[in-house]
Amino acid sequence: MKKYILRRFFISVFTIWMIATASFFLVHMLPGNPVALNSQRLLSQETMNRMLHYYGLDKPLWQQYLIYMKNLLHGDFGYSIQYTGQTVNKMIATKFPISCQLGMQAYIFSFPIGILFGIISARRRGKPVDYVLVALSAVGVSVPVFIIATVLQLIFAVKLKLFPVALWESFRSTILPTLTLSFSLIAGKSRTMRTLMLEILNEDYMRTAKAKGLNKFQIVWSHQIRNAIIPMIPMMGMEIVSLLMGSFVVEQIFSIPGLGAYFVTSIQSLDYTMTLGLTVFLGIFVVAANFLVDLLYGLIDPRIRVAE
Amino acid sequence: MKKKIFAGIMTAALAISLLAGCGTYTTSSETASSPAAAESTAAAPEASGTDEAAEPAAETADKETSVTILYNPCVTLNVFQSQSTSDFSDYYLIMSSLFRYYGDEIENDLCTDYTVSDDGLTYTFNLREAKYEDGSDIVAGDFVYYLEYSLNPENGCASQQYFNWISNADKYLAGECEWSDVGVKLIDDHSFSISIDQPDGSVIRRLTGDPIFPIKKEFVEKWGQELGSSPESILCSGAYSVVDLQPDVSLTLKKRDDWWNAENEFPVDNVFIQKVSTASTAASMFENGQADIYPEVDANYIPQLQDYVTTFASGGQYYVWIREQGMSSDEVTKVLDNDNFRLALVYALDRSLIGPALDPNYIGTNRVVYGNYATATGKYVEEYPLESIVPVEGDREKAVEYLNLALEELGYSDVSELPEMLYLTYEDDKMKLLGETIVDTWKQVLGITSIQFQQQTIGTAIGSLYGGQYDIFQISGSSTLLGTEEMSYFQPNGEFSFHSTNWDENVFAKFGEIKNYEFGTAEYYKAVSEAEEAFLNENSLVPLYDITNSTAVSPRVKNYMVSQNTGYMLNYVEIDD
Repeated sequence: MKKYILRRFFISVFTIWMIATASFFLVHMLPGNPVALNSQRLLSQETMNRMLHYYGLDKPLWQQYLIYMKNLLHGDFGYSIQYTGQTVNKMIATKFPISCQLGMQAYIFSFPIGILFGIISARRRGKPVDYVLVALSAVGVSVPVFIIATVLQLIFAVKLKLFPVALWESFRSTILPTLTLSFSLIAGKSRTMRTLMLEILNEDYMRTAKAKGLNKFQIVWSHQIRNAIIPMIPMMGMEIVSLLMGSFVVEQIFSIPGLGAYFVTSIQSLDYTMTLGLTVFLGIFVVAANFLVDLLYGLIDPRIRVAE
Repeated sequence: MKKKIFAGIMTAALAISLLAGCGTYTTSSETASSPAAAESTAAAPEASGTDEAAEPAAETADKETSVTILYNPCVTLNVFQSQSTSDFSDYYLIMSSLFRYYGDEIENDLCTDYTVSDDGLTYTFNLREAKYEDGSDIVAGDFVYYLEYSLNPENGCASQQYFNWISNADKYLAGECEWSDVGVKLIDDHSFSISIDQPDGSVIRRLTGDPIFPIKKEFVEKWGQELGSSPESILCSGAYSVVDLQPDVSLTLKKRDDWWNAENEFPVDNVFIQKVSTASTAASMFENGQADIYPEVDANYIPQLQDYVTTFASGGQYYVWIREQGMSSDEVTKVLDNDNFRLALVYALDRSLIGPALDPNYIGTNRVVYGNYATATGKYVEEYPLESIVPVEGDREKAVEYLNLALEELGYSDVSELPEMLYLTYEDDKMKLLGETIVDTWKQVLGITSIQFQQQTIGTAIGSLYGGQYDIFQISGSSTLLGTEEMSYFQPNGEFSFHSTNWDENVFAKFGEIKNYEFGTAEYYKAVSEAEEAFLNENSLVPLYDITNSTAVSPRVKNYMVSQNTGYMLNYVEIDD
């Protein structure tokens, strides 16, 4: 087990180095000049050259890479080019908790509900409640978040005035974005759980459980639900990470000052330091989540370790 | 059992690592992030206070007025590095300078009066008594320091470009002289002077459009690279101080009672500027009462909010630049350099239809000064009409006539023999629609099929623009008066002089004449209009339409105004609560 953990750890470190290096060179391959791009006024070539010198962007690329890697090893992502005076570390420290809170609220809310709907749907297969839940999950998966968000804003904020339309000021203001983000998650989880539950019905161990004389609750809880949930565990890591990173649309619609908007604008404005900092930070996050999930899964399912 | 314990630990680690970053959102300054929140904070009795102490606080809160504006807040409040127009809109509220705009009029700010030497080369500015938000005095040395820091090449300031017209500033920037040689001299605590190399009537206007912000040397040195990145690292000299700053997200301001003209201007106590990227959210927030002012209402929501919408000139314009010296080949150069060919292209366009068809906020124009530009006696474009330029509606028959003349002069027997030309713009939905419409119009009216429309990412497109890698370029910009800023780029030694290599010398002579007159006088405007006419008759830079700004204003806010020079103007608003 130790060997397995060590191997996964070194693979994770190597992956992070690859992400950092590839991102650095890819970002610098993008055409354009960050100084000119961030200016809404026409800059003279001399002014631009002086500004590029100031930011160290006139140095050879390999020199910039070495400086970047050295700072990275010290946990320093540097100063943003676009948001003058702001360090990328500070931006992450202040903005990531917001994205994280939104993503985690949505996941904590949607995971049990999605699982529950999936169980109900599978247990009532072919009954009206199954049709209703399947139809709802189809809608949830196919309707884009900006439609859901707009409808929720219209009903609950503009018409009923129960919640603010947007912004991130109090717990009340987090409810509509959380619901928006949860909608497709509940639908997705419900569909997956239903399918897994139904697949398990035909497994040998289910027949064995029935033959042993276990009651319905024991069969469903101990054999059907537990075995259906296992394949969902490796998905958790990536799901949560994609939630934390992928809530940009919801953040934009509700004007939530999370990390998503900065990620997109930093790429558009060629803010090298911000783009690299956020990419590496989120890369570390993804790798760490996968590392933990791999270990967890290896413990839950011994076949994985044996195979490794 | 061990495995189960380890699994439990791993699950906990996963949960903790994911939850580690989560927490209740508080701003860096631990202050309320909106006036609404600020009011509730003020109204709440202190935990250790008494009821008596709470009452006055509640009363004060009741009297305080707040305004929420849905607009792009600053990217940075580093006065030396700002390049975004939204930064300058915010500086209008938090920074004082020598002069400032109210609408199109120039008003004195910290400058009480100024004198000009007999030779017209030295301007001496006298300052009023005023204080920074920290209570310290604003002195003339702070203005001089701002200029010295901006022009120091080591500092790589974006602000350096705004002052390179000062005597020897260019040499200092190039490291060819000392600061003492630059035309900026401190006289005493209340006066300093600026020298220029040749008389220029636009000095005051330049200093109003690109202000000198007084700032203390020790403050700049204390904050270094982090200057302007948080409320603590900004030293406000204007009507408001910064309570909270979330770059490109939100800005919260509070009125300064010790600002020099606090009794007469900027009556709103709390200003909250919030960026809302989604038009539907912005419209809903306005309708819901969560916002008071919604500038630049999306065209789709103008009918919905029409009862509240007022239209202001934004000062922006869309242009087509026809490069007289074509980049592709000698043949293209020959074609684009032909006056009749350019006339054909311009006459083919009905600019009165193209703009509004794209967006009701766009108004077709054939002038390079925006339609609402106000002089002391009226609107500039109405007071100084230009008879000889191509009419905004164009003329299809004349377009064909000019094309035939051009083909004859160029030695082509048919339009199909014209060489391929590149019509370039940057990636943007409206730019695409506009560019395709124009290229298609030339195809329909003139039968020209050799103009290829191309879009590039904004960075690449700007690179192509600076590199001269285009034949025709479509761009947006500001439509300020000729003779300054943008127009100076087109002068013989200007940034875009390559664009106008073959221009008639008379155009530049006209630009030069403007400098002989004092800004704002009838002689000045007359000279400007003559230069504008000469400029437009080159048909090299073709204005397409003015961008107007439809702003939804809540009925509770009266006297709100938008200026193309400064953005939102809260100088004399009245709040009706």
